[in-house]
Amino acid sequence: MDQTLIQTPVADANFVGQPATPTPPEKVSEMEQSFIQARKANVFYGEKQALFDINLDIEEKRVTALIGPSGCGKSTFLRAINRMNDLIPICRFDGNLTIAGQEIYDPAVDVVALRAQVGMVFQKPNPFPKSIFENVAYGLKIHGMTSSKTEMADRVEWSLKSAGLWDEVHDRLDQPGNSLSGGQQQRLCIARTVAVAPKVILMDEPCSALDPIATAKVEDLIDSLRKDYTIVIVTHSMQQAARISQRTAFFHLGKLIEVGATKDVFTNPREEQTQNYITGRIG
Amino acid sequence: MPDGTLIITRSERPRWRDNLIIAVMAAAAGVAILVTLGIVLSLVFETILFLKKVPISNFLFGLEWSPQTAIRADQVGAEGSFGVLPLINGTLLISAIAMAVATPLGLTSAIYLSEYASKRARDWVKPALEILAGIPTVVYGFFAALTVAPFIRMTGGQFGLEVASESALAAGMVMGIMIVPLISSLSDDVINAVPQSLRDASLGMGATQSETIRRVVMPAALPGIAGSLLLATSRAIGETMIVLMAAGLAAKLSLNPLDAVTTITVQIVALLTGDQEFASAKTLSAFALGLLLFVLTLIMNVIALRIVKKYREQYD
Amino acid sequence: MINFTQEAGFGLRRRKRAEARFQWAGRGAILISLAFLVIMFASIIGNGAGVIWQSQIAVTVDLSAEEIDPENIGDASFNSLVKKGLRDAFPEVEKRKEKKRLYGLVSTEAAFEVERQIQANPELLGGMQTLWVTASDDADLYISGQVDTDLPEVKRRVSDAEIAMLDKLLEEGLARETFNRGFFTNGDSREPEIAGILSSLMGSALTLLVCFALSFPLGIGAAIYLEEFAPKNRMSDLIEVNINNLAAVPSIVFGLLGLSIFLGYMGLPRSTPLVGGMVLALMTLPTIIIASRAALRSVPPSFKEAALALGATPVQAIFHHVLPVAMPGMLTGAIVGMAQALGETAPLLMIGMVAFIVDVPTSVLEPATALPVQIFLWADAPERAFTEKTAAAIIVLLTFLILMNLIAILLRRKLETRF
Repeated sequence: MDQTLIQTPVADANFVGQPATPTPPEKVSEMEQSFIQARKANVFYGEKQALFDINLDIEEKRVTALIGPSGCGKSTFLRAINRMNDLIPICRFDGNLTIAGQEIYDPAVDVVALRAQVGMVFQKPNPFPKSIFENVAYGLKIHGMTSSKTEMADRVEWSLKSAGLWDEVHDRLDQPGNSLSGGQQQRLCIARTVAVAPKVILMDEPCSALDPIATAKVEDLIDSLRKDYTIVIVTHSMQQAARISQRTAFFHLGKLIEVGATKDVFTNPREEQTQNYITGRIG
Repeated sequence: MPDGTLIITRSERPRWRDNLIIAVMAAAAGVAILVTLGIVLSLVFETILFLKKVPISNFLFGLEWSPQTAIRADQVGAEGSFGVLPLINGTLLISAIAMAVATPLGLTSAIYLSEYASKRARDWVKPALEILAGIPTVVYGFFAALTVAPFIRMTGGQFGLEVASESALAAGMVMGIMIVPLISSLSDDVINAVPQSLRDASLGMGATQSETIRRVVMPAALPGIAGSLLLATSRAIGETMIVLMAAGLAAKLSLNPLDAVTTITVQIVALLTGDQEFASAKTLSAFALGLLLFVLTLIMNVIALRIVKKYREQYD
Repeated sequence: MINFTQEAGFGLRRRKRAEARFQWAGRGAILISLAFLVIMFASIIGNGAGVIWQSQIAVTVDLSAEEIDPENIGDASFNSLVKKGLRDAFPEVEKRKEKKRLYGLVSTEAAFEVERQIQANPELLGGMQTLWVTASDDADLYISGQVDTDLPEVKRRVSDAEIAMLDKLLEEGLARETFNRGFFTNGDSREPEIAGILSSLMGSALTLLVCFALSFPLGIGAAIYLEEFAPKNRMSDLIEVNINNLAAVPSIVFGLLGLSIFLGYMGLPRSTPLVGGMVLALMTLPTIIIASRAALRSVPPSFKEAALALGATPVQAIFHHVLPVAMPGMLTGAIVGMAQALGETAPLLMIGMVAFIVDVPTSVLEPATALPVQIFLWADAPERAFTEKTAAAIIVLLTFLILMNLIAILLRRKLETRF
C-alpha cells in the first residue's frame, strides 16, 4: 500500500542529484552497504562538539536502540538522521550520513522530502490541537497523498489500526487529540507518523512520559511495526532496549563506544565502558 | 544593654512608621480604583440627567443625530435628535476599515518576525515598528487629512468614483497603520507561546515551515490572536484625533467607505468644545456617548484580557 | 526508489513556491508598514522644513521728529509710517485696490515690529531708516518659491500685481529670507507668519510637570504596595484587573472625567496646565504602575533577604535596597508614560486647553494650550501657511518624543548591563 502512495517520478538510475557513492572506510568495507550508514559523522553546536567521528550502520527493518547516559549525544545523532538539527541555527553537521545509499546532507536534498520519508516520534506526546482524525490526516494532506475523501478515511483507519489505536478511538475521531490519555496520545503520534508511510521511524525516548501499562502497549506496537519499518529508538531504559531492539549502540560523551546485536551488548559487552554503564556504574 | 542579653521583643516605634508608609502606598494603589469609580460615577450621573431629557429608546435606537441647540425655547425640535445609531455606524465602519488594514499587516509581520527573521533583523525591525505606536495620534490625523485623504480622493476620481474629501477610508487606513504594531507585538507574544514541540512534530513529518505555521501554529494560537485583535478593535473604537481630523462631522447611516461619516469620539469633542451651555441636552449627550464608549471598550477589553490569560495558562 | 530531492514527489515544487510566497508576504507586510512610516516622516519634514526660513521685506520709514516724538515713541502711528514707506517704494501704485495689495505684502504685525526696533534702539530716530519687517504669509509663499506661476491667476493665492511688486523688491535686495527665530520665541497668532510654538511648548512643559509630580509618586507607591505588601485577596485582584483595564480605556474618557469632576465638581480653573496634568496623570498611571512592578520584580530577591537578615524592617529593606536598584527601570517606565502624555491631545480638548493662547504661560494656573493641541488647531486653520507651521510643530513634537525615548532606551540598557 505504501509503495503506491509515494510517487517517485525519477528512478534511481537516471537520478541526477545524487553524489558519487562515498567510499566506505576500510573497517566496515567487508559489510554490504547497510540501510542507514554514518561515516565520520561530527555534530557541532557552535564551538562545542557534540558527536565525534561516528561510524554506525543501521539495518533495514530492524529496531536499533541508541543508549547511553544523558548528554552522550544519542538524541543528537537521532535528530541528525532526519536533519531536525537544522532547526538549531548554530548546529553544524560534518561527515557522511546515507540512507539507502543517498547522502542526506547533500545540497540537492530537500529536508521536506527527507522528513516525509524519515518520520519522527518525540519524547513528549505532541498531538496537534486538532481532532484525532485531523491529526492522522495531517501528513496525508500536506503531502497530497490521497486523492479522495474515502481514500483519506481508509488511510487514517489503516494508520490507526497499525498503531493499535483504532478500537479505542474509532467512535470519537472528531474529538481533540489531546483529550486522549498520555499513552493513547503517543500512539496517535505514531499513527500520524505511520500514515505517510515513511521508510524510517525515529523515536526519541517515546515512553519516557508514559506509565508502565502505556509503555508496554507502545513497546508492543514498536515490535509489530518492525516488519514494515526501519526503527531507530533512543531510550534511557536499558530494559526497554533489551526488550524491543535487535541491535544496540552505546554512546558515551559524544562517541560511539560499541554497537552490536542487543543480546551481545547486554550479556557480553566488548568494552569496559559499556559494561560499566549497563551494570549501573556510570550514567 | 548588658552583655549577653538578647532583646527580641517588639519595639513599637519603627512599626507604626512602617505601617503608615504601607498605608500611604496602599492608598496610592487605591487611586486606581478611585479613577475607575470616578469615570463610572461621573459618566453615569450626567447620563441620567441626559436621559431625563431624551428617552433612552430615542438615544439607543434613533436613526438621526443632529444635536441642535435651540435658538428659542419654544422652537419646534428645539432639542434636536439624539439617535446614536449613525455614530455607531460610523465608528464601526472606520474601525472595520482600520482592522482590515491592520490585521493582515500586523499578523503577517508578527509571523515573519517570530518564525523567519534572523535575530539581527528582529532587533532592527521590531523597534522600527514600535515607532509607529509611539507617534502621537494628532500626527496621524494631520497626515491623513493633508496627504492620504486627497490622495484617495484623486485616485478615486480617476476611476470615476465620488469620494468625500473627508472619507472614512482615509481615516480608517491611517488608523489601521497606527494599530499594526499593537497587533504585531501582541500576536508575536501569542505565537511565541505556542510550544516548540508542535512545530517539531509538524516539521518532523516533512511539512514546510509555512504549512507548519498555517496549519499548526496559527490554529493553536487562534484564541490568543482573537484576544489581541479584540484589544486592537477596542483601541480603534476609542481613537479620537485621527477621526476628528480626517473623518468629519457628517452623521449618516452609510457603509460606503468613500463617504464621510462621524464617530462617537468625534461627536464627544464636537459637543464639548466651543460654546456650550451646561446641563443642556446637547452637552449632556456627550457624557452619554462617553458612557457608551466606555462600556463598549470595557467589555471588549475584559473579554480580550480573559482570552489571552486563559490562552497563556493553557501552554504554561 | 528512495529519493530525497525536490524530484521526490509530494508536490514539492508547488509547496516550495507557496513557501516562498508566504515569506514574501511577511516581508511585504513589514515593508508596507515601514514604507508608510518613511512616507509620513518625509511628507511632514517636506512640509515643515520651510519654517526655518522667514521672509522679510525692507521698508524705508521716516523717523524724523515730525513723525515721531522722541519723548513719546508709543504715540506715533507706526502703521501709517509703514504704509507710507511702502507707497514711497512703489510710487506708481495709485488705485485703492492696488494700494491694499501693496500694504498686504507685509504682515499686520509689521507696525509693531518697527515700534519694537525703535524702542530697543532709540538712536535710529531722526531721519530715514530702512528696517526689515516680516512679510505676510502670501508674500512669504512667493518669496520662498512655493507659488506656481504657471497656474492661471485666479487659481493662485498671489496675484500678478503682487508678484510684480515682490519681483521688484527681490531685484533691489529689499526682500530676503532669514532664520525664523519667531517660530520658537512667539506665542500663537491669527497671522501664520507671526505664529510660534513657545506658548504651547511652555503649556506642555507645565502640564507634564504636574503630570509627573502626581503620577510618578502615585505609580511607584502603588507598584511597591502591589508587588511587595498587598495581601493575596480579592481586593488586590480587583486592583490588578482595574489597572489592566484602565490602561486600555480610551483617552477621551479621561477627558470627560476631568471635565465632570475636576472642572465641574471641584471647580478647578478651566484650560489650565494644572487640570491638564491631573487628567494626564490618571491616564499614565497604569503605564507607570505596570512598568514599575516589572522593575521591582527584576530585582533579585536576595537583595531584600540580605537586608531582612540584618534586621531591617520590610519597609526599610525595600526603600534602602530594592528601590535604588529598581529606580532606573521605574524611571524608564515614567519617561515612556510622559512621552505618551506629551503626545496626547483628546483629553486636553475636553478640559478646554484648546484656547487661543498668545502669551507664554508662566504658572500652572494660567490658561494654556499644549503642543499637540496647537498642532490640531493649526491643522484646522484655513490659511495655507499654517500647514507649514503645523508640520514644523510636529517635527518639534517628534524631536522631543525621540529624545525622551532615547533616554528611556539608554536607561534600560544601563539597567540590563547591571545584572
